[in-house]
Amino acid sequence: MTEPLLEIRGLRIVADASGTVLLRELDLTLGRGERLAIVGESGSGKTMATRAIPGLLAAGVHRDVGSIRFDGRELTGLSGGDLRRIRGAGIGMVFQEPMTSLNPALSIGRQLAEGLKLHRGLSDEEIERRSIDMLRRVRIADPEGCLKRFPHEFSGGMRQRIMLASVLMLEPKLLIADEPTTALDTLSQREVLELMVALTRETGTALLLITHDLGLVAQYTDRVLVLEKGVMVEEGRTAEVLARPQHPYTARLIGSLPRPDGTRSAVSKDDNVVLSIKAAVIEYQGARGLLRSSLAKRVIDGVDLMVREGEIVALVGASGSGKTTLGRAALGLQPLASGTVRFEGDDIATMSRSRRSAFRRDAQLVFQDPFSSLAPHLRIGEIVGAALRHIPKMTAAERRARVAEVLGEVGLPGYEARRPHQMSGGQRQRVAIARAIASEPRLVVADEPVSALDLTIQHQVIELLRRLQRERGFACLFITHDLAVVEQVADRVVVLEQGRVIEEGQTAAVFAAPRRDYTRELLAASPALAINELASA
Amino acid sequence: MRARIHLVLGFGLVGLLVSVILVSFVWLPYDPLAIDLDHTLAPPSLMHWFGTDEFGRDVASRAMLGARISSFIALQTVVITIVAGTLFGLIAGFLRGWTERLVMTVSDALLAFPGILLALALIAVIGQSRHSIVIALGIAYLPSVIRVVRAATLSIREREFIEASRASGDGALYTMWRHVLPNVLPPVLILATSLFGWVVLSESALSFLGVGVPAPIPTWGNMLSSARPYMASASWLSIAPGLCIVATLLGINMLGDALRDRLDPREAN
Amino acid sequence: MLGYATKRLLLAIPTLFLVALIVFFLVRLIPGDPAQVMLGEGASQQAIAALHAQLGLDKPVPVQFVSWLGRALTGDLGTSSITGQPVGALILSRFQVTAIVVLVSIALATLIAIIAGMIAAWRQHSQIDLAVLGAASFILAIPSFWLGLLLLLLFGVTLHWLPVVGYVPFSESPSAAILFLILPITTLTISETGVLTRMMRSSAIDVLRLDYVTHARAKGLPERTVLARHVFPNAFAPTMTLVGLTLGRCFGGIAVIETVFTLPGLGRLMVDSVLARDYPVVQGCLLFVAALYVLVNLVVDLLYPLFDPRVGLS
Repeated sequence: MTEPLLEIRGLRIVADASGTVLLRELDLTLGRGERLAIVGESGSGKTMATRAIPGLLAAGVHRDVGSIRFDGRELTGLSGGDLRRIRGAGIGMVFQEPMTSLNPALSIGRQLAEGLKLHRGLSDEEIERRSIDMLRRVRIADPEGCLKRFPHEFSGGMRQRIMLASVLMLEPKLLIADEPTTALDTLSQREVLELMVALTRETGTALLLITHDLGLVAQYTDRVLVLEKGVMVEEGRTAEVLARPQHPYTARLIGSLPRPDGTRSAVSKDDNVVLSIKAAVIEYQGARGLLRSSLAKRVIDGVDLMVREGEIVALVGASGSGKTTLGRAALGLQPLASGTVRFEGDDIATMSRSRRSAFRRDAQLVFQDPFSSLAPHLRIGEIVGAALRHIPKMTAAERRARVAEVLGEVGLPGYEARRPHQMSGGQRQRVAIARAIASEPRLVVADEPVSALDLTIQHQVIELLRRLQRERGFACLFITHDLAVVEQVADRVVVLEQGRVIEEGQTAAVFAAPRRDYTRELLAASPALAINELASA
Repeated sequence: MRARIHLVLGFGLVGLLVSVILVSFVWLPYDPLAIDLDHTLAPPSLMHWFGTDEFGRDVASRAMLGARISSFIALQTVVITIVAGTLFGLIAGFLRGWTERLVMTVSDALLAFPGILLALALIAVIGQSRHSIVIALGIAYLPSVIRVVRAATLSIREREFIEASRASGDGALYTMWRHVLPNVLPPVLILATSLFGWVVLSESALSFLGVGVPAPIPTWGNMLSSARPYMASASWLSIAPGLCIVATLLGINMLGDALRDRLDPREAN
Repeated sequence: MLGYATKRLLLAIPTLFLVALIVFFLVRLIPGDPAQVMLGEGASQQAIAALHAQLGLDKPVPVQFVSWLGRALTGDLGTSSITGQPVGALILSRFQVTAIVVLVSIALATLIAIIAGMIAAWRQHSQIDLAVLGAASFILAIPSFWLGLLLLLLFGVTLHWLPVVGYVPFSESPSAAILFLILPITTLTISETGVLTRMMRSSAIDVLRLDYVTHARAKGLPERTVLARHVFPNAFAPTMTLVGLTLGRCFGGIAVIETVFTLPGLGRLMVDSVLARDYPVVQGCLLFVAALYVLVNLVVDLLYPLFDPRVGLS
């Protein structure tokens, strides 16, 4: 029975100042070449657990008790020098945020060379050779040129791959990946993870993957460990845990995954068309240089889109596809270079003042970021009642009554006097929804309304939106990059790529038989869909 | 912990300053302008707490009057500069376009003159008086305020709740007033406290150079200037006014730091 | 990179133009006949008439501006209305002292700020951090001229270690000049260390929080390498901008130090000419210092990409 590569026993992490226990008695084993996922929502302590391994806990927290054995050695209590020798060469770490994980002031070549120079003392030529080789393996085009360039010249997905290269070059026995793809779009996510798994398999490196995304866990790992608020609640083989969760929290997590809903009734073709966009072109003015002006870039290039009364249409695309811009254009917040946007038959560009005023009331927007979409200096009551101010003949008392009613509907009764900073992300998003429906709109555009939320909260908010839409019957344009959510929520789906509609139709039909390659790729890359297949198997 | 020390000391020192100023309205140990040639250059004693200067004038009384004068000049300058700067910075940052370009071009041109040089030049043109200092320093510091307010406005403008306000149908003016301004106030307030300190320092420097508040009206700066010939024989003349400046600036800076700690936009969620 | 450099250079030109415009019109704002204003109270009618002709005061104002600017660009800044000396030469001779004091002081202050700021940030909340922060904050409250007076009082008057008044030009006798320059340089260095240290500390704190620093440590790099190679370049960039602004500010504010230590510098020249209503000299000094300031900031802008490559590409 070979000794496991990593063995953690009774690890407890405590905050310096208050003594609060942030991670409680964690036990964990990882064999050589094995792939273990640590799953949890925010505040579960998953990041801290892994930072403790190479002794890189942030300031303000410390390891209270517990042992960490790596490759036969006890890591706690090692001297600084010994610990540094293990870091990088024995244990490699990949971080979440591609924008801040590489030093902007140093060239890629220098950053790749650092680790090898330190641990192996190789010659410069040898290091360069290995760097180029590694960059090629992570599929960076023109590896030689890449060495001389700087991080800001590369996209998020490329930076993550470069970081992967720099870490794997040292051939560590253990790779800790902390939410490595959370900040990337769906297609890049898949690329990076596939690479990570393939390369670690080649070298026999064990993988400790921290994530909140159960779909990734299902696709890529052997075993999974679930953390809730600093406590380990479940652990076992991935397929087992996902199919038959023992602990209620795990069950809740799995239950919160977006699932297709068979209860949606088909919307008849004769229903009113609320929103009609035809041949829309939106251009982004390049920055005007001193001596020349850049060519305008087409963000939306000839798009037709229609949303009927009572319908939920999902607008899907990767980042940069133009979906957010199109959503804004639907509400008249973004001017078109050409084409028309019609709301209930009227061209919004040529509306009269009074009609436009009514349009502002009848078409509302729910924003993505619950932390910046609510005015921090106002109370909830005033925020929710914002659109009501423009309704003629509505008295203050009537406004107050409507605000109270709407807050009750979203499950926040009596919250009028509170301020945004006192509320959680999920609560703020419910306020945002309350704000949107207060004026009884006919169209609601929801721009990635749940992307920034934890899985269980996401589930709650989506259910709320669906219920309100069912009860009030407004048309809804739901913008998202998450295909599992689309399956759960939408009647029709429109797929956007680089400003063009490349596929659209009834959700079930498109998902079952996608016509275009891009759609196929998107569907294949969506990890959450994979779980649904697992679970329903 | 640190914030509390700052708050206590800051309030303490500023409180001391304010008390001295208030007292100076009703009582001063001696007439600050009264010349007493029998008691020139007397060292500190129970009769004269800070001693007397070369004309026999009581230094303590002059220091108290100086406190009032310097503070008033600073207050006037800060009010004018903050109000004007916030106005220009807001419209430049929010309306953008040619409004912004116009405001920033003028502002940057003024910024091309370092520190008190511009103030000096303006005093050369306007003439030397208490009012000219306010105008000169006001114009010299205006671009800095405009810059800060414009930067704050630009970043607030991008926040989604501003977009939400416009999406609800609010007009530009309403949005600026109801949503942008309240969120711009915290950095402006912090700037105002820093500005107060800078103006006190600049005014004392200008007075020290002889182009500030004209004699015989005392201000700490020109008191230090006239103390120079007597450095060897009457060193207390060089020390007392300086201590006053340091105490005042320490108090204001600490208050500003405590304020910054409270109003820091990086509020924990 | 070249595009960025040319862009910055080109942007400096309109700024300089506006500066010249402001300087030109500043004197014209004074009520009364410009020639009389420039020559002062006791000027004779012939002198006034001569200056009228020389400055072309009968021609339209834009023409006057262009010819004044043209002369200024060739180095002819007029003559002092008090001494009759050519302004250009006067400024250059006075600039020597100022340049030495300012450049040496700011260089020293920057060095101290980098070291103290980084150590304080690295050991944030520790006693050393509190000490550095406390010292920097305290320094900010001390006017530089009072500090100079105190140092003079201590080292000059009481201890007699250093001279109290006077100056010997550097070109004549470096060793003697140094004696006269020690106290002024010490004063300015201490004064400016405060604000630079706070800036360096604050940006180092921000950088130390970022992922790439943890990543560097995760590679096993020793702490000193992490600080020098990963923290310093990124933390220094904003401080460098401040150094440029400080240099410019000191070229003007040095007047107080020059007054305390009776150094024949540019700042003192400016103040004296304001008091004496010697407007050609006032104009010349303004133009010179402002142009210098624009130049210094231009150099800082051009050096910035060395520390932050993101800026180099337009």
